[in-house]
This record gives sequence, C-alpha cells and structure tokens, in this order.
Amino acid sequence: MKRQHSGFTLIELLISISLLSMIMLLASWSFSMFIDRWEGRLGNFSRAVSESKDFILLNNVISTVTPYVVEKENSLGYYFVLKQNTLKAVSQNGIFHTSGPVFFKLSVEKNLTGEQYLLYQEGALSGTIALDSDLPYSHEKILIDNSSAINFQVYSWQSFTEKVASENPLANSNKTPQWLSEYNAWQSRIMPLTLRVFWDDSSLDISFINDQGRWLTLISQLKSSTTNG
Amino acid sequence: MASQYKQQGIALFQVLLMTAIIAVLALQFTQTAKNQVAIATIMADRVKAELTQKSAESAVIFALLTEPLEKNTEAGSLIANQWNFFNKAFTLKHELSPSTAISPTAYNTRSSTVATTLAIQDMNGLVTLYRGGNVKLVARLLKRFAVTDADASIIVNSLVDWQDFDSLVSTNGAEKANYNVQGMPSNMPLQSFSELLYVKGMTPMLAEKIKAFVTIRPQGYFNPMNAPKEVLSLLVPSEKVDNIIRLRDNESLTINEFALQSGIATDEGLYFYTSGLLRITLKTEVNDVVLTKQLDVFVQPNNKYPYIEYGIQH
Repeated sequence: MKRQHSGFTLIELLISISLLSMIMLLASWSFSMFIDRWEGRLGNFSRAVSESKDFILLNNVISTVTPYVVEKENSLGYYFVLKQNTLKAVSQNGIFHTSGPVFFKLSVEKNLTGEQYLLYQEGALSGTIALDSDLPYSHEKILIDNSSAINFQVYSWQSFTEKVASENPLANSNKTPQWLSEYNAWQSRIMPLTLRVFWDDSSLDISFINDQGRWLTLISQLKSSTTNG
Repeated sequence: MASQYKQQGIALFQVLLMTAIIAVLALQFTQTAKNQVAIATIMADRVKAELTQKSAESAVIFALLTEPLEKNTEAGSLIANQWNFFNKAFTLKHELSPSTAISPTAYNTRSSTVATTLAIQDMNGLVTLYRGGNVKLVARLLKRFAVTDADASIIVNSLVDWQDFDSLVSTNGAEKANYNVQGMPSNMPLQSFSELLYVKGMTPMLAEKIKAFVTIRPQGYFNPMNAPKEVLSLLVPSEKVDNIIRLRDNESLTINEFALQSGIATDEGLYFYTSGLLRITLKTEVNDVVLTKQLDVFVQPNNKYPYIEYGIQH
C-alpha cells in the first residue's frame, strides 16, 4: 500500500503534464496580452507627453514672434512671410537658442508613407536678414508627426493703411482683420495678430507680440529724417 | 514519508518561482506607474503655473492701465498697493491667484504651493543703448565692469556706427569693413539685446553683466529715481547712493528728498516721474515648476494704443 502512494502512474503523469501545460499556455497567452496592452498604454503615454512638450515649444516660439524690421529695395517692412504652407519669421525664443532671437521656418513636409509632418528649423540671428535669400538654419526638429493634413492661417489686416483707415471714424472703412493663408508683412507693413495651425481634427491659435506697428513707424521716421536731414 | 516531502518540494519550488516572477512584474509596474504619475504631475503643475502667470500678467496690466504709477496703500488694487518701479520683487497676494479657486481634483489632491513674484523696472531708469544712447553714460557704465578706457571707447563708438543709417566710420567705430559678415552692422536701431553681442568690442560676459542695467528702447526722458543702484552710482557719489537706496527701499524717498540727496536737477530729458516704459518680470512657482516671463511694454492709458508690447522673453 505504501508503495502505491509513493509514486505516479503514467496516466496520472500525462494528465498532470497536459493540465499544467494548458495552464502555462493560458498564463503565457494572457501574460503576453497584458504586456501588449501595458506597453500600448506606455506608448500612448510617452507619445502624449512628447506631443505636449512639442506644443509647449511651438507655443513658446510662436507667442514671442517679434515685429522684426527688415529692409529691401530701400523700403522698410516686417519680416514675416507665410507662403504655400511655409512660415518664416523671427522669434525672441528659439527651441535651441533659448536666450536670443532666432529666425525660424515652419514647413509642412511629406514622409515616405505620404503622411505629413511639421518641420521646424531655426538659426541664431546676428545681423540683418536679407528678405529673399536662404537663411543658414542650424537646427531642426519635427513638431507634429504623422498627420493627414497640416495647414496655417494668420489673422491679420490686409495692410497697415487698411488698419489706419479702420481707426478713423470718418472713413467708414468697415474693414476688419481676416484669416489669410498667404501673407507678407514686408509688403503689408503690419504684423499679423494670430497664427492658427490646423492638423487632423485639431487646431491651435497662438497670438504674436503686438506693438501696433510702433517699431516700424519709429525706424521709418528715423530713417527718413536722417536721410533727408 | 521522506520521499513524499520531496515531491511536495517541487510544488513549493514552482509556487515560489511563480511568485517571484509575479513580484518582479508587479515591482516593474509600480515603478513605471510612479514615473508616469511624476511626469503627469509636472505637466499638470506646468499648466497650472502657466495659467496662474497669465492671470497675474493680466492683473498687472490692468493695474498699470487703471491706477496712477505710484504706490498707493489705500488703492483697491491688490497690485497697486504694493508695487514699485525700481525692480524690487514683491509677491502677489493670494486673491489674485486663480489656483485657489480650482478645487483639487481626484488625481491631484496633494497640497500645492503656488506663488507669483513680480518685479517692475521703469526702463527710463536704465541706460538706453538706442542709437548709441548717451555715449558718456554708456562708457561710464562699461568702465564700472572693468572695461578699459580704450575698449569702452571702441564699444560705444561701434554701437553708434552699428545703429546709424550711414556707412561712415567714426573714430574708434566700426562699419561694414570691420565685420566682414553679411548683415553686419545692421545700420538700424538694435532690435534685440542679443544683437549687442556682435558689436565690435563686446563680449558675451560683459553683455551678461550689463544686461539688467540697459534697455534698447528709446526713452522719452531719463528718470534716475527709479534707476538700479549700479546706474545711480554713475551719477551720484557713492556715499549718497547707499542712503538713497536705503530710503527708497523703506518707501520714504520723496521727489524732493531725492533731488536734495542726489543733487540732480530736473531739466528737459530728466524727470522724476515713473514712465510707462516698463520691464515686468513674473516668476511663478507651482511645487517644483518655476516659470519666468519678462515683458517689455509701453503703457499709455490715454493713447489710442494704450498697451504696446515690445518684447516677451520666456
């Protein structure tokens, strides 16, 4: 009797092994599912974190876009160009040069799978900017990735004269700022008020520094008085 | 009996192994969760700090546009009854902080410390570099920071050449030929403080030292009464400066007292009244998050454009 108790029969062994392996299978399957989900969540979390970081950076750059005066063909205007979904301007806070003004470019590019991404390029500003030349951008970063469509618009007066006319109660100009997808502040002689970035189903509005055109007025007056006098 | 125990030992071993694996996993999960909570908390704090700062900024602009630019302890405004215009930091009272109105949410029940410190500097009390500024005053400021007479002369004259519209090189100055870099000099007033770094003779270290005492904006007049100690020392004998600063910090410096102590008389271009050209520094702290923001603004409540932003620095 004692002998019978001390061991297993083949059947017992087979049953226990098959039971055990079933449990193992179940365990490993649920474990892998669990891990997958966990990592998926981790991925979502880190993606959300890096996205919010990118938005903070984008906001820092755009909200400090400066009314920066440039000269071209002996005529003064602001450096701010929005053309074919590419934005070029000067900001007081760069992503890479945090303490100084930078010239930057935001452009919408396509990756290999046809998805769009927002490319940010910047360079430290030293002297003046030549309006039509390519600038030596030294750093770059992708800010919005894998989007189906990215677009820019600015909220602005069409021109400085239009703004001045609107402030004159006798002129009755009925003009208001508008959303525009092409803009050149050197021609209009006034900085836009707000930038709107569209991507997928989202959009973000960021306002610029608003000096009411004072800096350009000041430099223009100074220049004309110096050259005439 | 002995053989029976051996068989049970295997089961025990299996159980131990499984428990160990599960324990390691659980540890890993808690660790990741902890990290995530920490990151999310910082993010939440940052948003809170940003909103608090924005509210403080709005409150300060409102006060600047509606209150006389002098300290008035009777003022209803919680800012106007404690502000100053010589860059002495003061803490905003809690009523202005919107965070107290936000009830703690389920994920954020820990107590948080929220504080905004403000400092306002009348930029008419600084040394302006606009178009070269007052050349003698700028040179004296540079010499205070161990710059030799010769170097100071090079810097101030190059600063004038950098900003004037012509290409004539003045004595000790510098124009295009001296820089040999496209776009230098700009031949325009300085558009940012950092542009100063490229002016002949200037070094990053020196620029950093003078940063708090200069402005690139044009001044309507100069106001030494709101000047920092370093700038005041350029105009007033040092033994008088300490006294004036002490009186100012105690809020007992009147215009008459200042004129008497300093021996400076008002004339056209020099007044003892606070101007609307201001540099506002906001520092908001929410737990471990510290956000600073500096605004260069021009406030003129009765003008068509009452509030002009010259620059914002994060």
